[in-house]
Amino acid sequence: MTPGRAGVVRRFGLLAIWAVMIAVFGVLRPEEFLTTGTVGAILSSQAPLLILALGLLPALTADTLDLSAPATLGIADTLLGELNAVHHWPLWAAAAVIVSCGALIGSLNAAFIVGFGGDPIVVTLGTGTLLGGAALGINIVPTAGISAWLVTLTRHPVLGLQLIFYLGLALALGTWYFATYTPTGRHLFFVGAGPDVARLTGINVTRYRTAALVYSGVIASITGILLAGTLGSSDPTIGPTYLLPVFAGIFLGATTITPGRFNAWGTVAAVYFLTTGVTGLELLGLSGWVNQVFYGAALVLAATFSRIVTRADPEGAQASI
Amino acid sequence: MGPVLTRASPAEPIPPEGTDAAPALVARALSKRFAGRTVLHRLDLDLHRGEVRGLLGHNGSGKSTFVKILSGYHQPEPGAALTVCGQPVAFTRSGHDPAHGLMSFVHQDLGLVATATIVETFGVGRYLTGLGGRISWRRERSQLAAALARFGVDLPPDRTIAEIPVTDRAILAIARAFDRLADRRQGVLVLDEPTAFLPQDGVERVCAAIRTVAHHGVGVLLVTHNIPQALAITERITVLRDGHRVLEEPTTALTTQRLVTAMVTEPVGAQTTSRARRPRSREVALAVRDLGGAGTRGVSFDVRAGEIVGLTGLMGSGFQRVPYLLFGATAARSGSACVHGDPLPLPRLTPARAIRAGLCLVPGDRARHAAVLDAPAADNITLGDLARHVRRGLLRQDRVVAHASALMDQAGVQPLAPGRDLRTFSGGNQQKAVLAKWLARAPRVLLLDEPVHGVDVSSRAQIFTRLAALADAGTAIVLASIDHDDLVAVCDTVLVLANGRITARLHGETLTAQRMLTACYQHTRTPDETV
Repeated sequence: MTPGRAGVVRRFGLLAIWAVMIAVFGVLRPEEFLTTGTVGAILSSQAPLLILALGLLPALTADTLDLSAPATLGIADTLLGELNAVHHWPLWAAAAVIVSCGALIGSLNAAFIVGFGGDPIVVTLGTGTLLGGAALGINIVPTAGISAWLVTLTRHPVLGLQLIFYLGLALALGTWYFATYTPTGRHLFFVGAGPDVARLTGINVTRYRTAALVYSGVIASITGILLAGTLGSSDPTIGPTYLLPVFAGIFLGATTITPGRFNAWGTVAAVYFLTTGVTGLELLGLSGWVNQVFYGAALVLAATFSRIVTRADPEGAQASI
Repeated sequence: MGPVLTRASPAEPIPPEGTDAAPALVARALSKRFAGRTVLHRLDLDLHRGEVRGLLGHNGSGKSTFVKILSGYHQPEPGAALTVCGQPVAFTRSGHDPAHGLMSFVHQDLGLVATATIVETFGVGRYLTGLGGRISWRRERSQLAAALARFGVDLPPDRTIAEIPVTDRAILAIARAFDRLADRRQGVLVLDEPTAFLPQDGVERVCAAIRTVAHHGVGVLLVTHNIPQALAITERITVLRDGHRVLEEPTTALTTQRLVTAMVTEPVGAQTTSRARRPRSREVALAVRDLGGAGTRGVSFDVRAGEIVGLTGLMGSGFQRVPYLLFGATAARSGSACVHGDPLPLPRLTPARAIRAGLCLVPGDRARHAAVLDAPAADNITLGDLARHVRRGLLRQDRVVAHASALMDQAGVQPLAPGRDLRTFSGGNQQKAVLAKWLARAPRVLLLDEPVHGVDVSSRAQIFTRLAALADAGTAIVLASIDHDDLVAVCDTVLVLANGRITARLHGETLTAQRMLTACYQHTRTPDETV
């Protein structure tokens, strides 16, 4: 693959826009925006969003979907507060139960989608809503008093950033390695891009999709635990607030770095691109409503761009369908 | 209630065969050319009121083009004239209004939606509306009941299409098309292969429905492959071959043999004969016994190592399903198969197990089943065997590309650019790449479905040469194709299927395109000629 100039623009255009955006906010709000405090806050506070998004990549790559992942994160966060802070379970026991729940949620999604052939949008919208309600049923108010060890661990400063940011980077590295350097990752791509092609090549499509959905449940539940750590408390209403940002990040990410494919570094770039935008706009005095407007617009634009990106061909050599 | 209700009145007088009434359809000098090739040559056709006419012809005879001109999908070449019930039909660029209300069509898929109810299906496109534009379901139901009563059937209006038998669906489609005629005592009903997928006992009932339509005075044009059915219910039969009308006679004067002879093109010059190569081995590589499923029944055959066995038949005869059943891509219902003596677990067979047993399948639908066109050629070709390119935990893309490059070179894929998306290659080169993917696995038995479909002439030749070389090296090959000349050129034996069963086994002297075509249409079993 030797992308021409157009290919470079497609691959790195988002990074260029990101740089311009940083420059603009830097000029408009130099004292507040370009400080290590702000940069650190952006990178660290949005690490759970990044981890959640990366956990969803295999499912999306396999051409299925898990809209319930943000709610899984929410119920994991709530359960940690309930088990660890209220009932004083040891952290490891609470974590074991929560991650098992995540795996169970993923398995149920897989059973309905892969087993019974349900539409992933409908099934996971349903399980997500169910879990959101369940979280409120467990505890309706935020709970403080999360294991101090977990709080210290996730917030542990490394080179000015919290440890959780590096966990996100490590997962991105792992996801990229999996997609690029393992036969399983390559198989997963074909399961999504051509399920019949994969099946007739002897790849067990059902097993790959099931594994991807269980994985997304597990990662979402781990993210819920880490989120409770960075915030120092658990909040039963937090899950649904991740729904739009996480899918905006993933779909925008699919338009960059490796355009046309869900990819780890594209997701990293897109998540932080969006966070930079929101933070900058908030510093300009537009708070509250701007968050939803920005993420909503980004999701629509990302979905549109990804169509355009897959249609346009850098070499102009696209044959007819 | 307005004029609409009067259309539903069930009792309609059967008109006398008035000699003064205009014929249902008069076509004069209909021609059609595509890219310089004439597919229809100045066709004349007269269809009388109340007549059931059969229109027969093999693939490419021009009969579909004729139907598409009638439906307004194609425009004929200048100089053509078409009159329906005495009214001239104008051909316009945007497609003529197909003599609105005077012509009605039932297409091969019947145009039914499986999840819609019967009453919804019947009224769709012309729903009777009442106050505020809402559909008047009461009137729809009474219309449906009246329309079905004409055909002596009674279907529950709230059942979905998926819930009723195929035969009832076909009758519903005919009743609906008939109902769409403005005046049900004149007009033309065109049935394009309406009974292609009917069970045998349903054919009788559909034929009765067709006769009912004709009794009302409507001219019926039945486009079909099914010779026995055409002989049973039509009054006249027209046969097209290569765009020419080659026969038109009263049905009573015709026999199956005469129709087949009229439909089959005489081979140009000397008859093409099968390649003069005998199987080198007596060892049976693939033994299939009583295979059933996906419309096939009791299919049994042997393929010896080094032998190329062709499968053919008419569309819907089931021959194309056989490779998929043997590969586990479609679940078989019954039967057994052995590869070099090792049994395949046929009903529970998966593609993964089939591959382990030494089988490979090159599917016919390249874009859906054979390759991901928006992925690099190298990734497509090496997909089945990636483990061999892993070194120290890393899938080495350089090794993948090198391996793919070697396979592409061997297969003659042009350009030799393994990194490019497969979509950027021509159809022929895509197919050679797909073949390369499977040949890399060195299959003991290679199954192919239409391997040269949409492939240019030179790639075709390359692919067939490659298959012959593989066979010479001992691979057993099963090749399903509708192209009889191709089968004659490459196969040692050809099995013809009709109605899901093998009805002829041709090889040696008997392996000719004409014998194949005759066998396709005759549905008769010739003596088993295996050695």
